[in-house]
Amino acid sequence: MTAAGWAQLVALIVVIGVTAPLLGRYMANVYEGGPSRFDRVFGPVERLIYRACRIDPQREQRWNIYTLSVLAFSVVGFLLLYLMQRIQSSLPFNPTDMANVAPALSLNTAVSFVTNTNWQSYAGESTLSHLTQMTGLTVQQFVSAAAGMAVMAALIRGLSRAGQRTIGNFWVDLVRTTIRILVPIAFVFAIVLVATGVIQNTHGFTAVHTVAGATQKVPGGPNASMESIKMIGTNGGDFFNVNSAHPFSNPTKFSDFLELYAILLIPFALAFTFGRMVKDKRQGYAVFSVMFVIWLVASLLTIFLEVGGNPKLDARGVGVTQTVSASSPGGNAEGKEVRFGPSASGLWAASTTGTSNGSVNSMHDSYTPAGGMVPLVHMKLGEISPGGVGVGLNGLLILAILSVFIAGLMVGRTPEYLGKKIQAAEVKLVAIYILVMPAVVLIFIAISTFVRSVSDVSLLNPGAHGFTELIYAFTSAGNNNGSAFAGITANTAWMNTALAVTMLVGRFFLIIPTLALAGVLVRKRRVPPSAGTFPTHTPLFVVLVIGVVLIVAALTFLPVLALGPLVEQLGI
Amino acid sequence: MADVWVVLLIVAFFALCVGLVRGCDRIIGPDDAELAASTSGADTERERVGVAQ
Repeated sequence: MTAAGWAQLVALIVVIGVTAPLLGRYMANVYEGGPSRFDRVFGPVERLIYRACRIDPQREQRWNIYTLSVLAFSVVGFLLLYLMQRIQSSLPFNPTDMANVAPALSLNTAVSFVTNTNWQSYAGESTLSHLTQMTGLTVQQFVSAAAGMAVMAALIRGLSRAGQRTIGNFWVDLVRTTIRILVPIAFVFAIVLVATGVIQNTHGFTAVHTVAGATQKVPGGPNASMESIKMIGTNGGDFFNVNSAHPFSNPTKFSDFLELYAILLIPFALAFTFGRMVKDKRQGYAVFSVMFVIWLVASLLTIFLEVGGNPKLDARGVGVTQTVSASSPGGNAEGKEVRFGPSASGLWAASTTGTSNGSVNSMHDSYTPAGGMVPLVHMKLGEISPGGVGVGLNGLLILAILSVFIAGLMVGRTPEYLGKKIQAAEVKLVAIYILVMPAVVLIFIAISTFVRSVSDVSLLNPGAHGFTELIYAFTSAGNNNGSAFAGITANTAWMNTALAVTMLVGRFFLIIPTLALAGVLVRKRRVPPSAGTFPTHTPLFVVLVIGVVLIVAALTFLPVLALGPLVEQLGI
Repeated sequence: MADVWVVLLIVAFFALCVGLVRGCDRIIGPDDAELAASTSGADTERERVGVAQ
């Protein structure tokens, strides 16, 4: 690993360490509805929205009403986005004359953005109009992220309140998250991105003449505004097909650093939000520690495996150099931008798969088998390190509840988490949450191996590598990540539909038990800690949760990994 | 026609979601306040029946 690689990693940790607690404190105040110095700015906007939408901000909802509100909001969002794609050629602001999008692709794209997945079976610059990208996709990038954070706020209220029946008001949480958190940060960050060279214009294609005398069409568009919320909201859907490997989306090493920081900022900050909302900062530190340790290990593993390169290339003497030189960053360079190199690419790959972001600055398909397996496994852990905005913390809290349940079984006591007894109903809901994602991912992988279009059209590589592409695609969809391994043609009727169903199940079948858990926990009275209470803020608990995360993932996914990246790595 | 299938798929999925909400509600069961209300309602009913007898 080069000095530049170490410098980027250390700088990222320092900047996150300084800013995440501050943002976490601010977000806690937003969700607790306390007075803020920004009330004069945001208050009138919120009140206008409440009045226009007939929302009573004082009226709280029980968990089932809160859940139905989430579902209703998502259905309407889907229908609008689907319709916009289907008629985009008749709508204004289409300087590139894009045709209407086909039904299966519209379904996949609408589901993808409503579920905060941002899986892209299409190439943005050659499929969608500027209007669809700006008012369809980008708006969903704000509100789907806000919906995830609202669900998180509800779960934390379930843990922090006692003897109550309501967990907040979804519409209020949605509005406050969007207006007070996402829009201001994304606005500032978009301007910063423009300063680094990310494009933001209303152009269509510009014809340019190359040095060789050919004519090339260079795409334009409102990219920085989308790039900004793409990172801040852990969305990942880019204006351009190659995502953050495109020089108009991520032009320099500095923009790469800033975008990476933007991916990680809110997910890590939410750990501190949690600590403040449950009135015990130590709980937040414990959650942060679990997130940080797993993220750091995944990052270092990916970086070292890619910096190490492919040993067969050196051994065979095929003239490929993998050593660092003045003109090469060294390591496995295939599928990577030279301006980033294997260190920054590996760090991005680990971060984007730990957060449900799904953007890429290199092609994961070109990684070494073991190097590509780390991002894949990182998603399979449930994207809790540090996780997508809101949903990542939800997953981690649910795994924490599972951990105290297992610890309770070991010592023969009724488990407790934050003073709430964990009983049959909670464990059933946790079981649903844990089982849904692996079930839908593995079932669709299994079915897809029998589908003719998958083997004939979609998979571009044979054998174990092709199977890894399939595993990656459904894992990415099921975890609402959205990153692609590359090397797979996803724009077929089967892949578009199967991935859409996987994304829907991976989003809403996890949100429902999460909110149900909030509903059952909010009723419970708090039990005072006793000598037998298992403390959940200690290093021992951090190790226990990490162990549970790894064991659950290994028990579920080791067999399928053995048929894909593991056997491929052994074959090198 | 394909658009109709897409809308039907989405409606079917969200109907399933509503079913899961109801399933989770059954797992949770009624809360103490509801239980107390239903129990007192049943007691009143029993008392009324008792008076009639």
